[in-house]
Amino acid sequence: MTGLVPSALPDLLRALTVLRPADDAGKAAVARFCGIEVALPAPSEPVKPPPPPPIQIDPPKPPIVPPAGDIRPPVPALPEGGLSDQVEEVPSVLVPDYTESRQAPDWLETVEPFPEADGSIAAPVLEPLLVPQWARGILAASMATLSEAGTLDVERLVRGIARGIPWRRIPRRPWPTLARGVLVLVDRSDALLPFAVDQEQIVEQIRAVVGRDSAQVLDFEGNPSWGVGTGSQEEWEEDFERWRPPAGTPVLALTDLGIGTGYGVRPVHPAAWRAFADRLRRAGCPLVAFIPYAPERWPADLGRALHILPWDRGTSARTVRRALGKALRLPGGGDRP
Amino acid sequence: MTEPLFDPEKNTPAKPAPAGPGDRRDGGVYVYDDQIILAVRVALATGRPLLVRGPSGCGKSSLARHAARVLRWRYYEKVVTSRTQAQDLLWEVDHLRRLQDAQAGSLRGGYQKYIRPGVFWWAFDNRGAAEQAERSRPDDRAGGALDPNLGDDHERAVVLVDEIDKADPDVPNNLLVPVGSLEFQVEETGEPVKTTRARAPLVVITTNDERELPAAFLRRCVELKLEVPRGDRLLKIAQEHFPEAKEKDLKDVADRIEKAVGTESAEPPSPAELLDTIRAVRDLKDQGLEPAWEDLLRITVWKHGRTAKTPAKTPE
Repeated sequence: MTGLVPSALPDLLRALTVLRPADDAGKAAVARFCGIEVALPAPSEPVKPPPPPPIQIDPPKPPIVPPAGDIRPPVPALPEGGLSDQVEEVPSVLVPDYTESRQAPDWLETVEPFPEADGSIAAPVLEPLLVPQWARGILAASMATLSEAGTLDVERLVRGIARGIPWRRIPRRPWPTLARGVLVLVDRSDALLPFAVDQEQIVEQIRAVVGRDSAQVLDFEGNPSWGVGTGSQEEWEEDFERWRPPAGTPVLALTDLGIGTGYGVRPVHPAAWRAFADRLRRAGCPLVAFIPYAPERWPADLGRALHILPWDRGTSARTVRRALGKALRLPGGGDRP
Repeated sequence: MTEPLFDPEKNTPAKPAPAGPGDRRDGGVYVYDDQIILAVRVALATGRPLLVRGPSGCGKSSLARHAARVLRWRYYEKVVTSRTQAQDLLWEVDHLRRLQDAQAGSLRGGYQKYIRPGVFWWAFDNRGAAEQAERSRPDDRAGGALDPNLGDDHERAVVLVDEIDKADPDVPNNLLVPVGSLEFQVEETGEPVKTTRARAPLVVITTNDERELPAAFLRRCVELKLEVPRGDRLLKIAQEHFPEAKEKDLKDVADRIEKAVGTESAEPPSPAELLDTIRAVRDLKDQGLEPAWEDLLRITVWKHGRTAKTPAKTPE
């Protein structure tokens, strides 16, 4: 007997008393509807359980072979005073191109790649970054926006009537809702490769919480302003406007905000994220980022432009509420009448 | 307490008038299998809500209405939307009318005049709900039935909560207490609404699995997963809906659809799609026209969103 929950046994007794199934198969069928799996003795040969499905792992990318010599492009100097917070888009002249920011070490030219996996060894199951029992609550809290669907806001109503303001609609207290759906942006940068399986897991959880039809998932690398899309990277579009969700839709980024570095990883300046968050804010869409690194490593000041949440075992719904309040407020007061 | 034995074969209800176009929601026809009957019996015996899963068009909602017809019970339904809150299924308050009355100086008494019973109130206590509905009836709508019952006249009821996965995640859990304890209290008036185990409704809740339901909610439900019927069962459904049609004509349409979609299809044709196609063929033939199968199946079956593992070839 497996999967027993406290209410299942009384339910089963009640059902068996009323229905009186004639044989063991009938009793097992009733038990199944009560949430209890009963293993019946096999009539002949024992049936082998099916082997667990193999875990699909993306094939490793071919090693990057660096060109010889110093590959760093000339870097233009930053203006005095640094980058302004007021810039709407980051002009390319102010963003150094760090595409190949380091010279390849000598050993990289001689090192042999690992042999291709032959499938004989199954990869161990990866523990998700969020505690499984809490994931649903964490995600629901981080994607909920406020809507006027709550109880009657008597105070506001009375105040308005006292001032002689005619009400066009009944004022209600803000209520968190997932009805606006979500746009999920998944950072496919090489720096996020260690979290690739975690990203797939959390995307599935988001779809389960908010609804498959209400969750749009797009890929990007480094910063969404550089290109977003689905499918292969060649088909991504640099113009984010085409993908911009309707006003009020929360945007959830699974990224490291450029914290992770490495050979071949294009560094992301915090100003690029600030500009992207500003762009979404003007469009009425709040931006939330799940970061798989400790808060000490988060880019300073970015927390004022977007909501940053730790993507870790210590994160709970309370952590999210502490950071976001009861729910995400829509930029520009889109959730207020 | 003796629960009635749910037996659709012995208690077959009279068939209502033939249905028009669109989904048939009158519960006039339903084709059961042993699993479905057992699931309803277990839900009745345990007093737990029956959670029906399955793809759209496979008969989740119509099961509730037909079960009510088999049991000869009252029937109430509420289709959930993304804006639905758990309280909407218990009672609703007409705040706008109350405000209008306040501004017109005709506000008397408390909330009684502005509270409308929800489906669970009607199912738990239809007399109390009728009294409340009468109290809250607008002056300009005198006369007419107040009870939204779509079934028979009986002390017990079947309640359909349709597509609960459309609601916000808190809604299923917020329904657990009123459905489990068979009572709730109207906040604005303090009025208790309750029923007894002997008069408990059969609650049928459907989900398209678009959104995951909370574990606490699932633990308190009897779960039935409906598969999309295929082969003989699909044909039997068509025969029940179109008793006047010849079996070979129905089989011809069913075969064409199955071939068009392909046996490897990730989404086999649903009964609703088969019935739509049969209806279209019948109407075309009534007008003396022969269906252009390729075009017809593209409209009724090959709609946006269907995917196939292998490209299907439309039969000649």
